[in-house]
Amino acid sequence: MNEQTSLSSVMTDVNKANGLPNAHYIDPAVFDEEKQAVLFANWSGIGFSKDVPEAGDAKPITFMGMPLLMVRDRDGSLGVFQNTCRHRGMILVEEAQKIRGAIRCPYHSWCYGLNGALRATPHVGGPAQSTHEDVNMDELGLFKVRSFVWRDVVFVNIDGNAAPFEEVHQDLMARWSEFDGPLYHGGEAASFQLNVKTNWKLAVENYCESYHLPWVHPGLNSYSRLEDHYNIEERGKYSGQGTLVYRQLRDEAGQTLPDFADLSSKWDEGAEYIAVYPNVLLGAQRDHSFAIVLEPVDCGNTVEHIELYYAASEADTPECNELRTTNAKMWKEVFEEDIFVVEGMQRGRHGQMFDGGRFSPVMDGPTHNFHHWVASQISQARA
Amino acid sequence: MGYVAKAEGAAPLASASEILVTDALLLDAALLEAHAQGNTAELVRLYTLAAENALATGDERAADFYLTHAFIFALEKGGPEAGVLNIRLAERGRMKLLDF
Repeated sequence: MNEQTSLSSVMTDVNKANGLPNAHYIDPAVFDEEKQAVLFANWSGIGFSKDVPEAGDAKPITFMGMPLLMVRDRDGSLGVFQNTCRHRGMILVEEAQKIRGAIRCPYHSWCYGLNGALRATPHVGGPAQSTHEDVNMDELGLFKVRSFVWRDVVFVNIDGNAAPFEEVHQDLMARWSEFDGPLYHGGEAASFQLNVKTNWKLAVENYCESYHLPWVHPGLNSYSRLEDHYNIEERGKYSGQGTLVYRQLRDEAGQTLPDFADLSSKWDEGAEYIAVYPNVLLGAQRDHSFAIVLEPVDCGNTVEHIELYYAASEADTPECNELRTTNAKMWKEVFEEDIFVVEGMQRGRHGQMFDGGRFSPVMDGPTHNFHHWVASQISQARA
Repeated sequence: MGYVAKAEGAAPLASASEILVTDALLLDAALLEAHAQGNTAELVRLYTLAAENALATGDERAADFYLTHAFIFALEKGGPEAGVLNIRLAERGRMKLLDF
């Protein structure tokens, strides 16, 4: 256990607060503490439903060292299991694949159904005897992890103790309920990863605020001025930023991407970018959305898994393929522009005199909101 | 019933369905080949065959061993053989009856 960091200065009002202490970015012991208190105790994003589209599709994911397996069952439901055999703890599935019948452990061939139920235990009672009175198969299914899919992101609560996802994120789900219609993934160009030398929290913090836009994304700011943005901050829930001047991408012929159905006029030029605590970043615009799952690798390394979605499928709107490609390229450039910032802040946190920093009381509310939430989770776990 | 299998140094098999096995050694070689190739359908077929051979010689225990392996690979592969093999093994007291 690490020597506990002081969080009182984080949990005060933004006008007076400091940011989280350096140790929360550079100390492996605090990384492990946050793993349990922040990531595993809440609803963390681990992947995307579109990665297991058909019955039998299985994709292993290692999330903060935890071996998980996403599986699409025959009834269409998505299950997340611990990817560990109940017999000797062997990893069950090493790479994404189609399970046609059962998940067979490669070690002693214990077999599991797509719903995680234990189906066979060959020779468990001795050669050719596949039953034993002390091995109750009904009690030895794969450990199931609570999961919930929202906006195609697969969220899991690993410790099993969080309130239901729909309860935790009730307000946010209501806020964006206009976007509840189907999402169509934009295909190969709409899927990319960025390996960033930063702590996962700095990616959240940078995403939350618009303060940096004119300096880091001057291209965006040429039409989207700072004063056209607003802070989104709900204490204990989520935070982010919104814009009042979202401008649709157009090709040379003036064509735009199709809109999501039945949106109110708020979204004609409005768009919002919200961090779903702890590690998912979502964007919603009239004609496309995106989701970023931050995979914390260690204190100073994070993989950003980025996926873009549209209101119509590639198959139904092939005439928009070029626009989708341009759009994905544009977002990739924007996200890449942020890399030097989050990597620079990470290196800056090795400065031993840095005290967490002082926030702009006006501009940094969303970032402080996140710090406050993280500190609250850690404080609860320490209590 | 005669069987042919790929033996050490033999020409590559044309297809799994053409494999016939004439004796235990060749059957063994065919099983090793199917394992090496991860050919689950062929493993189901060959282990079932091995079980039938064992039953023909009265070796019930060996038959159940092979049937167990045939069943496991059938279960992994999916398809109707798994249900049939499960019934056979359950009737022989080797396994509980599963729902398919």
